[in-house]
Formats: sequence, C-alpha cells, structure tokens
Amino acid sequence: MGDSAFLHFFTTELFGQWRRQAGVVLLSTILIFLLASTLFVSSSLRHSLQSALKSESDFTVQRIRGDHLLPVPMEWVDEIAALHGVDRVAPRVWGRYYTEPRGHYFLIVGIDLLEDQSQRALQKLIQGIDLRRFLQGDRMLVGPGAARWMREHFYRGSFSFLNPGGQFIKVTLDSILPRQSSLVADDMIVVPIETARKILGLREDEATDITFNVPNDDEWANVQNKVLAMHYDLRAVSKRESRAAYSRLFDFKGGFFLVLFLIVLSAFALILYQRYSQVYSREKRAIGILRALGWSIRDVLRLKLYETLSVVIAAFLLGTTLAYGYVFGLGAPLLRNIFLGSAEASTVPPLVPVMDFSVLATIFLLYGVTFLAAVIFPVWRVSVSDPKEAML
Amino acid sequence: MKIIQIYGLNRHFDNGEERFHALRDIDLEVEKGECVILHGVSGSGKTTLLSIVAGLDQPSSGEVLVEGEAIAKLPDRHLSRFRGRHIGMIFQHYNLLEEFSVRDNVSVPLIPLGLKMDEVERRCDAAMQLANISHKARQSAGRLSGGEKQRAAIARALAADPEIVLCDEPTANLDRANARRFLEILGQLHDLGKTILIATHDPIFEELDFPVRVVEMEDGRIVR
Ligand SMILES: Nc1ncnc2c1ncn2[C@@H]1O[C@H](COP(=O)(O)OP(=O)(O)OP(=O)(O)O)[C@@H](O)[C@H]1O
Ligand SMILES: [Mg+2]
Repeated sequence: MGDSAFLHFFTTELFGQWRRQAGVVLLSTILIFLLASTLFVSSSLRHSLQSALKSESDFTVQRIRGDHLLPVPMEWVDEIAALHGVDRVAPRVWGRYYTEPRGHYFLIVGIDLLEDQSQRALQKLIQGIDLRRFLQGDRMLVGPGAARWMREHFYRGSFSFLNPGGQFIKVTLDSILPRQSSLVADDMIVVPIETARKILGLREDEATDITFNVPNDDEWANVQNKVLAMHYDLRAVSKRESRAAYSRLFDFKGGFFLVLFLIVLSAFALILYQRYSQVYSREKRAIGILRALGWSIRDVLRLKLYETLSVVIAAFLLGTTLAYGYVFGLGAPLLRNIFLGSAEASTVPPLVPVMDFSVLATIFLLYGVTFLAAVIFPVWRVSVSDPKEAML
Repeated sequence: MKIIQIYGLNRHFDNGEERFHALRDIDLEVEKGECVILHGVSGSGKTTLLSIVAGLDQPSSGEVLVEGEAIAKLPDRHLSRFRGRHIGMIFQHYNLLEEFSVRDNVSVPLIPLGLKMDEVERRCDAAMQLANISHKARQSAGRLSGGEKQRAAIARALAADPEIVLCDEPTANLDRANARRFLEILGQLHDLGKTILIATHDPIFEELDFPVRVVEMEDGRIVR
C-alpha cells in the first residue's frame, strides 16, 4: 500500500489527534533549539576565527620586557628579511585605543603601500578603496562597530584621538568598512601607518610588531630558532600556536555544552519512552480494531512510524528555525556571553550566519536517532498487540 | 460450497496452574450464503469462536478452514489481507474510531488494500448507502447515537465487500426499534448472498424472516 488513501488516513489521524503529539513536539523543539543554538554559535565563531587566522602571517615578532610588550625597532625588519627562507617581512603598527567616556576601545591598524602582500585579511577589507589618496592625509576607514559608536556619540566626519603625549590627532572619516566574517574587523579603524604611529605614540623608527611568512613548512622551527637568537628581548609567535590556543578554547566550551546536552538527551529519551509507552498502551484498543479490520502489523507499524517521523521532522524544523533566528537574528543573547565572556560582549561583532550542513546533520542524528530509539519499542509493542483486543 | 469448516476445535486458556476450556471439540460447517446464529448464555464461548473464525485468535488444537484456507497457519501479513478482504466484523461495542468521521471509519478496512482514493470513496459511499448512514458521512463517530454507530459499523464491515460477516452481540446495545432495523439490514445482506454468523442471546433474532440455523452453545460445546 503506497498510496493516497493511506496518506489521507494518516494525515487525518495526525491532525485529528495533534493534541496528543503537541507536548512531545514542544519538548523536542526546546531541546533542538538548545542544541542548535549552541552549535550555531560555536560553528559561526570557529568559522570567523579560522578565516581570520587563515589570512594571517605565519609568524609575529614582538619585543618584550618583563611581561609587557614594547615597540619593535624597525632595524629588526631588515635583519629578519636577511634570513634564508623568510618571506613577506612587514612591520605593523596597531593597537587598542581606549575612548574616555565609556572605556570603549577601537583597534587602530596602520597601513601603507609597502606592506601590500602581508595582510590578506586587511587587503580584502580595503578592496576598492583608492589607497594612494587615502594614504596622503590623516584619514580613516572605520569598522561597522566603531562607526556605530561614533554615531551614537555624535562624532561626524572626523574624530580627534588623544595620543599618549597629550596631543589631539584629528582624523577625517574616509569610509565605513563592509561587515565581514571576521571577529576583529568590527571595531577596527584603519589609518595610514604614520597616523597610526601618532595616535599610538610610536616613533618613526618603531613598529608594534613584525610579521613574516615561512613558505616551507619544514623550516618553521628552524627559522623560529634563528629569529629568537637575534635578540634577547625578542619573541616570535607562530600562527599555529595561536590557532591551537583559540580552538582549544572553543572546543572546550563546545564540548562542555555537548556533554550537558547528552545528559539532557538521555533524560529526554527516558521521558519519551515513558510517555509513548503510556500513550500507546491507551491506544491498544484502537490498534486492535485496525488489526481486526485487516491491518497487518506492518501496516500499523507504518502508520505509527509516519506519525513519529512527522513529530521528529516538525520539531527539527521548528527548533532549528527558532535557533537560527535566535543566534543570527537576535545575536544569541546570553549564549554568546557564555562563549565570548560577558566583558567583551559589547565589542564583539554580530554572529555571521554560517550554514554548516554537518552541523544540521549532527543535530538531526543526535536527536532523531535518540527519538526513534526511544519510541520504536513502544510503537512496535503496540503494533503487535493482540487483535483480539477489539472483541472484548 | 462449505465456506467455513471447523473440525475438532479446542481453545483453552492457561491461568497459572488452572486450565480453562473455552471451546471443546467444536465441529461446525457453514454453507455459503447461510445465516448461522450462535446462541448461548454469557461465557459459553461465542466470542471466542468468532475470534477464531476471523483469525483474531488461535485454536489450541483442531482445524479451521475459511474459504478452504487454513487461516491459523497463515503469516500475519497474509492473514491480515485475508481478513480484510473476506471477513467483515461487527463488534458489540461498535468499536468505531471516535475522533474520525463516519466516512474515514468506513474506509479503514480499505486502506491496507492499496486502492486509489476515488475507488476508496466509491466503496465507502456504496457501503454507507447500504447501511443507511450516508447522511452522517462527515460527522465524527463519537457524536453518533447508538443506532447510528451500529449502522456506521455495518457500513465499515461491508466496505471491502466481504463474503462473510461476523456479528458479536450486534443488538446488545440497541433499543428494540433500532434492533429491528438491524434485522432489516441483515435481510438485505442475506439477499446479497453474504454468509452471516451472529453470536447472541437476544431472542429478537427469532423474528428474522429468512431461514436461519440456530446453533446452541453451552460451556464451550455445541449442544444442538
Ligand atoms: N484471554 C482469556 N483468558 C482467559 N479466559 C478467557 C480469555 N478469553 C475468554 N476467556 C474465557 O472464555 C469463556 C468464553 O468467553 P467468551 O467471550 O467466548 O464468551 P461469550 O459466550 O462471548 O460470552 P458473552 O455472552 O458474555 O459475550 C469465558 O468464561 C471467558 O472468561
Ligand atoms: Mg461475547
């Protein structure tokens, strides 16, 4: 029987008795919503982070004294560039700039024409901007978050930065950066490198740090050692190390949620099992009637499986849709704080929608398999129920 | 042609140490088109006998052939199909699916047969016509009166056009007027050539105006 009459009967039954399923759908929806939100947030963050790191240089060289960073002398650039197997050595001038009123900070990033290849992420950001004109004065490109802050505080067209020497540096707004799938871009302010030095209080022969690439993977350790040997106060961090640190953090939080979820899932399975055993034992008579009227065990099983699958799919669609809206529409209030830490929450950009198929598949498997496993036995038990039931 | 053949049928229920014999050494042959009334006091085994004929219960021993088929030995799928096609059931408590409309109830035996929707509709209409319940087709079964429920149940039993109709205490919950209407419908079924088995202790069946065979049951035996 694979046909319209069966489907008609099935839908009549399903919608005629929706009240019976509503509780289970609701419970399932909440569960899927929680799971999907968590996975959406973590996969979106991971995605942003990875794309940010991918475009970053292999190594970053810093100067340390005690436990704090000092500006790096520009001579180091040439020293590193002289090494064998090293590529794209570039000084960077960047740093946080704290605004007075609310302790909000911007990320100041200085650029110039020379370091064209060194920061692909930046390059992508400033695509289509006339660099030559831009570099000629104290102008800035402002990230969406920073732009919002300026608008809210009535700065239009320009902003005066107060540098560590107590001077005001007036910078004209050039344009607003496009929204990017990057964690760092939101509160970023891109300025010419000279302007950045002025704002951050660096001398002309100083940079914040130096980046370089090592094209041959096998040379990484070797080059790192050589660079470290150049100066006693030099530190060289590789991209791999920072990536590992980040993903450990996310894996830890994501894993924590997953364990929590598995516990909830087991409880859910138990509730379902209980509930369906109850529901179907009440239904025994109705099933007996169907059986007495010529329905085989298979026919009944099919009807009940369709019913169960409808519940699973309805809850899945509802739960993931709600989670999508909550995470990417509302920006996952509460949940985001847990992932990113509440102190930083206001400076972190909106979560960028990433529809990862494997995430959806994970949700469906975790939930669907549990559901079916918990329900199939009660369903089967009632399907084989004695057709004589109807005669009594 | 003998449509139902029962030889040496026993059915007992084991209850711990005790063994209760619900049916003992039943021999019964029913001709096609015949109407047989199983008469007997409560507990005499009428329902058990009907269940076995319908393949809803298994004999402990003995042979049961329906249309020449040893139904007890059929696997579930085939038995269910066989039952759906050849046997119509009318239960004492009507056993309608209360939330469903009369029409959907009547369609229940047709669903596993894999028919097209319009064929299902056609057969439902014909059966409801015969049972005189067409005017309530869209009403949910739970809201029908007792007599209407009975007629909806009859329509359902007839939907798949079975040769055999089994009725268990069909008039037990009806007033006399409705019981007489039921007798009229039975007359129509008889005229259509259906084989009818009725389990009852209601004397009203003496009023039937066509020849019937009365089988008297007592303590699981056929006594007459
Ligand atoms: N599953 C069972 N287990 C134990 N005893 C049973 C079972 N089914 C039926 N019986 C017993 O078999 C006997 C016959 O039952 P049956 O239902 O066939 O009687 P009946 O003639 O239909 O009675 P009534 O007129 O009250 O419907 C009864 O004493 C009943 O208690
Ligand atoms: Mg009975």
